[in-house]
Amino acid sequence: MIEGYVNEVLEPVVEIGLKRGDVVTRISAVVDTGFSGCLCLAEQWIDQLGMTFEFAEPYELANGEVIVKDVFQGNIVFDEREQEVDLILTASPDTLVGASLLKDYRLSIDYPKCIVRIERTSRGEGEHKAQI
Amino acid sequence: MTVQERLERLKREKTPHSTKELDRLGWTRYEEIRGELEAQHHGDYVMIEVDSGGYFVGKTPQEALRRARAVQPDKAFYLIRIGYKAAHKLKRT
Repeated sequence: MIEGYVNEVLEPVVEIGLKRGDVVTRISAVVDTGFSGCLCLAEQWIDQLGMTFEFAEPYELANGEVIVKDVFQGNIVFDEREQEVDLILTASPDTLVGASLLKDYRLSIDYPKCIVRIERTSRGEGEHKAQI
Repeated sequence: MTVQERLERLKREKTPHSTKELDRLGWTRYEEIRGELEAQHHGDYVMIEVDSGGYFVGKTPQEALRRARAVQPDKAFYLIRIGYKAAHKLKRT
């Protein structure tokens, strides 16, 4: 289980690990269920993650505009598990954990107590329907 | 080296194409195969290799990429969600 917190601007924040070689760098990431990918990494961290370029894809933004993003892959530590994830990069200082990384988890946010919990469930990947 | 230069170097390891070119070539190839794909795989994901025209369908982007890498491990691809204008959403802009 991952336990995080709600920050001063009401964003749920958890810790993830970025892996490069044998070195893991722990950073804070905002949980964003409006982002249907896995990880949107702040560019300031690219030296802390071993990455390969894999593909480009169209992304739909909140205003309906579609932009094309480069998608890389890297290994992260999430819920104490190392896993290879697809990631896009952002010039924003905020790293985002998206819904694709949460699909086997239960997310709960206790705003009054400022506690975020992400717990793994027994539900398998195959039971999920549409991804966006 | 700037961030963009480092990212461009990573991209050049897999493809000579710019992001814009991958987008244009990917959709051009998709138009050729969309009839069959949308009839049989609506809502699934297709990874398109823009130089050969090869394409690989999966229930998830990860499954499509695994299939694509198994055949063309050194190539970069273009991902489309079959029947949709975007493969993913990013509502925080």
